[in-house]
Amino acid sequence: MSTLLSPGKTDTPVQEADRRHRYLRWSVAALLIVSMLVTTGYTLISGYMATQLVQQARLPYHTTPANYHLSFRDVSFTSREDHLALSGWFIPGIRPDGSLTTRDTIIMVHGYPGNRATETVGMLAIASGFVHHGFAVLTFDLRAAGKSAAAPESMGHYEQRDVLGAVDFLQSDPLPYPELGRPQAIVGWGDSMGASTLLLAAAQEPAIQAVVADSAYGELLTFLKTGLPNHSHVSPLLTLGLLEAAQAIYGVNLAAVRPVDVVKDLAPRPVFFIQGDKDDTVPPSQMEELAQAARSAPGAHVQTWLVSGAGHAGSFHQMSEVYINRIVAFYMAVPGLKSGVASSQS
Amino acid sequence: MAVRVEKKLEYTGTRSKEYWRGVLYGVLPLAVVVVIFGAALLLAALLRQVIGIAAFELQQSVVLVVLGSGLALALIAFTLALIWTLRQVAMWQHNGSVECAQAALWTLVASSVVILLPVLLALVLP
Repeated sequence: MSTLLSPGKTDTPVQEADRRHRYLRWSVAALLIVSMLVTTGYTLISGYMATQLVQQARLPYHTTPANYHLSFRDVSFTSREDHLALSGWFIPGIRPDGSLTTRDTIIMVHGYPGNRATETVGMLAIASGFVHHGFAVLTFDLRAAGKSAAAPESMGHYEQRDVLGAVDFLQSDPLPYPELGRPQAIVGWGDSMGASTLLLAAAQEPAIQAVVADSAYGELLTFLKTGLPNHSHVSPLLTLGLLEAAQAIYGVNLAAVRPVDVVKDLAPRPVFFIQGDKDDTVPPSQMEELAQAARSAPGAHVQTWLVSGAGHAGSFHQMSEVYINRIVAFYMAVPGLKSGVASSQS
Repeated sequence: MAVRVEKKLEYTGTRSKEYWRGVLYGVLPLAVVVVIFGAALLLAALLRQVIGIAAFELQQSVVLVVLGSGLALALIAFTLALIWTLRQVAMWQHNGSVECAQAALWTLVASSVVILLPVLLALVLP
């Protein structure tokens, strides 16, 4: 500036040093401000993403078991440990002679986002298939879904308590259809997050005698890095921030959701993994990893089925009756289950 | 000879003291952010436990307010601390306390890397 105003004059060494010092200070300040802005932006976006992931809008039901001409009752029970109120439907199985039974009961666990009647997966159509093979069905809303209590959705971390609450309900709470007696065998079916949640719960609850896991993730991080970006256009760069934000805001440790670490504890109880080969949410390699981990236990009974042409949790829509029949055949082989045997014999 | 060594030691001691003084001033903006946001995180965790999951909506609102306020406070405190440190640096530069000024500026540069660390880790980690 001084050069422009008075051409020919040059700065004194002191002025030159002052200018250099000022430039240095401003450069450092700019560097710090930019760093802080970038990190604050990253933190805010991560926080927003965490709230979106952990607090999905509740999906409405458009169908009930009545749409499938099934007898059912509303039930409510609480989750194990944190005692959150959960709602669901209890649908007794139908024997070949038309009588109702609750002897063998399937706990159906929905995915994310979803509820007890998720239509995209065909929850009630699948339930109807099971019921007509003589299995009673307990389909319920996990926490934060449907009519169940508000809570953070933790992608299986806390939801396993809901599944354990369903087991407690079937084992010791007053049940609808008391004349039919208490279930003598409990098995599970879950899709996507529901399948992973079921695996986590079954690993610690021996009362769950068999598990069908459709499109389960072995570790949630893989879903967050691959599935989430595919569906929400979120950059995988946000995964780390999202994990930290979910922990800070909700106290949810998403990185700890790793059914692959506990699936071996299900042995010798049978496990059936199903996955579509066109699944772009949970990579089919996850099924192989889960099956491999499950088989690592002595006495493991593990089946896998890679459904050709099926997308995420889309195997039922792809295979229809074949899907039901294969699962029923799997349950029928479980020691102690009679419904399927009775149904097939008659 | 002995006097010269003594003077040299005294000079080195003064330089070292000046250096650490500069570092102390330089680390201040980062320190206030860490302390304030850290306190907000701890408070949020505490309140989450106290309120309990049964009152989830209240719990979430309180936690978001605490964390949001913590972040805003941390940003304001960071800006004020940065201005204060830079003024101090300007004074040192003017007075010829080169050691102090350089140490403070280098510490500020290092602080910017620490601040960027979450983003850098997200870029680097698989």
